[in-house]
Amino acid sequence: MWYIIGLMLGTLVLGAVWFLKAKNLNFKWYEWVIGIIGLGLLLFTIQNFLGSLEELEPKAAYTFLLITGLPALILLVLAWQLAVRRAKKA
Amino acid sequence: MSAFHSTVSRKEFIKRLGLTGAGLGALTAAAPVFHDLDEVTSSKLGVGPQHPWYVKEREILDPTCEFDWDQYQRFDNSPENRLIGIDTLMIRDLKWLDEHPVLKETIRLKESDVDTTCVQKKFPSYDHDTRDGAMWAAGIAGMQYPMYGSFLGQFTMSGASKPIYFMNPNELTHPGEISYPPGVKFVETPPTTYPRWNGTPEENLKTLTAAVRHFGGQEVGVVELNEKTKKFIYSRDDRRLGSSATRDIVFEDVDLAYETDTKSVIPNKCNRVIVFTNLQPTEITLTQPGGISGSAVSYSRMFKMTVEMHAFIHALGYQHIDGSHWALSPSVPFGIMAGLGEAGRTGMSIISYKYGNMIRCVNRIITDMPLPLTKPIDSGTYRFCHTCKLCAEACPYNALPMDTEPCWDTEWEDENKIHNYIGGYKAYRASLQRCPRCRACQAVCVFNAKDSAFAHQLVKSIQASNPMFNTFFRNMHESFGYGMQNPNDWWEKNLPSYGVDPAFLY
Repeated sequence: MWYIIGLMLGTLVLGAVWFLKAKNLNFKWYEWVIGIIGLGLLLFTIQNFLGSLEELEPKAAYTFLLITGLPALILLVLAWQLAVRRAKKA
Repeated sequence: MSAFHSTVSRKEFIKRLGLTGAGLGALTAAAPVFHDLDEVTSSKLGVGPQHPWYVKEREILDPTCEFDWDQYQRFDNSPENRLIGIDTLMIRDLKWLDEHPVLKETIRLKESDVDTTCVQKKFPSYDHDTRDGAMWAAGIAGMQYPMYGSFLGQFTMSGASKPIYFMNPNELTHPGEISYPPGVKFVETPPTTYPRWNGTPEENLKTLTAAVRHFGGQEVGVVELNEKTKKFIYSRDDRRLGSSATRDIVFEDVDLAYETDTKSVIPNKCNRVIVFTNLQPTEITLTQPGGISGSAVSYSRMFKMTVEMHAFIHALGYQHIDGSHWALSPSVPFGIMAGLGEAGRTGMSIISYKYGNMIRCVNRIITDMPLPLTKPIDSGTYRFCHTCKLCAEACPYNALPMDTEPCWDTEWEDENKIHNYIGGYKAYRASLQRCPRCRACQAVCVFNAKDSAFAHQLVKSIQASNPMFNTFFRNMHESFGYGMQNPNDWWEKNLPSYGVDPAFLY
């Protein structure tokens, strides 16, 4: 499970770094904070989703996707959009 | 060419590398160092239950639920005096029930299949079928292998051996018949090729833990048998060797345990109580009170394990006086004092931060083997029970207390009238007259959570130090669909051997 999580996380971070360089973007400190919290929440969601399935608790697994996964995505998108819109203004 | 380059200079890099190395070196120097294997086996590392960081150990005989040692007295567990509940029907006739209308009503409810109705409230499509009954019958069949406890731990040190007796369940219908468990007729003490085992107390506890795990048990703790804890031992009991005669249980300054027609004698030198737990199959426990209860097969595993532990201690060369199931003493106080769990709302079992309410038995063996003591713990479970009440709400017989605060006696008026409780400790007590052992309370406990999803560790660690979020955690437990599962689905699951979730095997 942790292997899969590690792969997913590594891909995400690589994608994020590539994206930043490609668009020549800089994150402000608050964008970093939002992004890191979002990433932490995403990691928490993935681990609990896979762990709950391992525990034979499918309802709990899907509830984690909703309760913690959705806010995680929102925060990540927010961080990304704040940076992109700031760059566009500039 | 990439525009990316490191801003760390060579000098800075080497400096950071050196500091990391120095830090690792300091850490190693501060870590425990063993010079040889004897030091490893004698060290406190790995001795007794290994608790996570958020579980605090308390002082010996100072558990989270308070005890008043002046008020707590030894209980007379003779058939005439035994606590009135569904168990006592084994020694009573049905006419006696007219004197106990609460118990009579419980039996009526049981016979009207309230257990199934309870499951159907959550899973309307559920209905028990022949397979459920077959599983129960199989579990009971396993229980025919030694039944209840045996007092006798007597053996001679000269190399001769004594059989280990267990009361045959047929004892009730064929009094006087003793059935030797097959394969455990005689145990050499010690085996002729080996000297008596003389380990340090820490080595002995590690040895016993390895044995318990090997035989299928979980945690092992040790309680001292002193003037206070002797009060946990019944003053009289009938679940003894051979006949069902009631005997006084007394303590004497003798070398070996022995029995006469009127008394069972525990030597004062046998001042250690080995306490070990045996877990129910976890997935099946969550289906209770559906028909395929996990308790019957757990008893058969417990009895088998108990026989093995007796034979093991016997062969090591030490005395072993049995307190399996409910023989010799109630199990919960020893479990609490040994640090294997805390008192919970169900009253009849310990609640473990790790195994929740899924522990079937807390077995006891009194011995003269040198052993260190294990301490009671504070893992937050006793405090969590104050506000949770999920088990009491789930109980189809309304047999569990709903008061927030535990009490020193009982909150049940009908139990109080006939003094159907043991006083002297501040905890919750189930109504013995209302509880037919359907075990719905086991299925719903919040602490049954397994270890694969990280959220459980987060919840357990937070509630251990701060009760502020306990109500929130309790509500989330229900919202996330934990708790009772559909018994019909159990047959479709891909379960491990013995039905125990792998997270609980370590």
